[in-house]
Amino acid sequence: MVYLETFSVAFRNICNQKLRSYLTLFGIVIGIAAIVSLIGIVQGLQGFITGELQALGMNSIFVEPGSEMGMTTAIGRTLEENDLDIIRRIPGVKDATGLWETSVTMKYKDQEAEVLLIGMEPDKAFMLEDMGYIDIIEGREFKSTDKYVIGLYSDFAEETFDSPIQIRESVEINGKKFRVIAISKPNSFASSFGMSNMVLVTKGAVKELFEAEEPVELIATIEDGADIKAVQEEIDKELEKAHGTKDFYTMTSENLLAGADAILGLVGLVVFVIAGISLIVGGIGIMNTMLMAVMERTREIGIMKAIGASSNLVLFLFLIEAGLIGLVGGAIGIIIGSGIGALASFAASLAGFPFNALPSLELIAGALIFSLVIGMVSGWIPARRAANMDPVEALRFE
Amino acid sequence: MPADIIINAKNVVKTYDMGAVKVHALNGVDFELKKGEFVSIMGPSGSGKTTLLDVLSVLLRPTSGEVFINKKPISKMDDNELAKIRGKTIGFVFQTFNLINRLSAKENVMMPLWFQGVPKSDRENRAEKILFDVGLADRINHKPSELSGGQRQRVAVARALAVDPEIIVADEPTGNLDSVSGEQIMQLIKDLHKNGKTILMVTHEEELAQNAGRIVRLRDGKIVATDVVKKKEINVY
Ligand SMILES: Nc1ncnc2c1ncn2[C@@H]1O[C@H](COP(=O)(O)OP(=O)(O)O)[C@@H](O)[C@H]1O
Ligand SMILES: [Mg+2]
Repeated sequence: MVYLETFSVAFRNICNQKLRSYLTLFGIVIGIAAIVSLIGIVQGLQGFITGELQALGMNSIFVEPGSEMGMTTAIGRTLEENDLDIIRRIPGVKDATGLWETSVTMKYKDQEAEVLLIGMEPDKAFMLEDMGYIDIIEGREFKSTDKYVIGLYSDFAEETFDSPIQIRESVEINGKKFRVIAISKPNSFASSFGMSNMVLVTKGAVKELFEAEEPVELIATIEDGADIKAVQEEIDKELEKAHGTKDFYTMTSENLLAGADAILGLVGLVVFVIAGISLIVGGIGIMNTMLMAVMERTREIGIMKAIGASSNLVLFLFLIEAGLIGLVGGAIGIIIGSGIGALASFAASLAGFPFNALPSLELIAGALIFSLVIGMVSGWIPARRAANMDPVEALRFE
Repeated sequence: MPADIIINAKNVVKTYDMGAVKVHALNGVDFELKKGEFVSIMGPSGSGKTTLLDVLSVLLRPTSGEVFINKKPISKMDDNELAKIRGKTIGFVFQTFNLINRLSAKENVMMPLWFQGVPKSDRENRAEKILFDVGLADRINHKPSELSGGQRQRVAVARALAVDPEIIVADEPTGNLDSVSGEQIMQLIKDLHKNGKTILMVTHEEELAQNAGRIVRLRDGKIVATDVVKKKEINVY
């Protein structure tokens, strides 16, 4: 009962504090704002990337040319169409398909644009649909008999040329006319990595027009319940045997996620260093404020102790006051941090990364508790000083 | 010692160590305060009156000697226990009022009740009633800065009475007041004694000291005389 009351008294006391003492809150406000905004952004990005990769399929294995994991845009050709047969024979593999890719110039009504042709196997297009690569909103599916037809992402169709490309119109590639048979929803995963110029054709068209006989990238899906790691290792082994060297690499959504997490983890570390420094500065600020308050209120402390306040109660009161000051700083920091997060979300959505950098409730609660604790830790020395004050000395204080 | 002795001091010495010099504020004082008594402590300035009062009211620990409160030695108690004794059994009235300036009269009176764990609504009722009793019914929500010296001291008396302590300790309670307010405060203290409170009061005015039943005279930190005041009316006790 006695101690419970301390909270409302402490609250009144800090409301009575001089404005200047709140200037020392600066450090803690910046520290908490940095934590809240940057963790919010990191978590938002994490959620975004996880969502995108999950859309690509947690059951997919990608086979890429080269030996390093990364976002390859340069087109190497070390994979072969025959590799697909090898992969399809591996136990646990449900299906496999390849992408025949090449960079070309597309003409539409006297205008030209560089595009990335993605030649796919029409009978395996459903795999790309399952992974969210393709989601046809207008037109029809590709057929095995299709040759000079093309599918466009709606953002590409609308924004690339002065006038939007309509379904059933034609574009020109390498002197050949391609009829637009399908418009798909934008592929946000590809566009977030700057590959917004992908267009879809059949593998036959790429092979014939560009003498690109072999696929650039292979995609395998696994059976339900199969162990994706084991299948991935088996693909590595079998393809290496067939190629004689390891001139390719495989990756899964999980590998990509781990890579993204590692980068975000590094960002997080930097955040903590910056936030840590400002919080130490903030803590010293609170300590300073509380030391001033204890000195200014020496007589009051003497009175309280003379008329029956125990040292423990005085200690508790000043600890709570320091904690509340920390909490106020934390709350301001959270508001500022959320504002930065909202701005970041807005900027990111303009840039084509629709992610939410606003802090989660857990993050807000954590930040509040953290700032309370910082306040109380910083208030420890001043509160001890108040509690240990000799009442007679304190009453003589002018 | 008899059962009705509340405060008992045995050979109390208080020395202030000022580095080069040692100030012997109290030089071996023996003192008893019985329940229901009214005792004045007199002496010239610097004779140790305040120091003795502080030691007797367990605000200050003696350098040597022992103080017993209801027969319990205070040397065996920690600071929290001493605070408890002060909060429960002793009400303080200071020469300089010692009110908390940012709190209203009522809030000042409520404060010692907080330390005793009295619920808020009870505290408010009690504070209002006592302020009414000391004649400040219309000043309940005034801050000390909005009150006259006499009114401030009455708030202080009300605060001392809040927890209904056995003993009221007053250090020159009229020292900072004009004569009219001083008389009013003195009357208040006499009434408290009549109503059964034990009173321990420091003063350097002979006339005020005569209100007590016993006068202890200090000089250079020693009790040099104890006078029993003759009175027509007999104490309640
Ligand atoms: N905190 C202190 N530090 C040093 N000397 C003190 C202190 N308090 C009192 N004294 C000294 O002790 C002596 C007694 O003081 P005090 O009890 O206040 O006397 P009185 O109340 O009779 O005027 C004085 O000489 C005073 O200067
Ligand atoms: Mg004095």
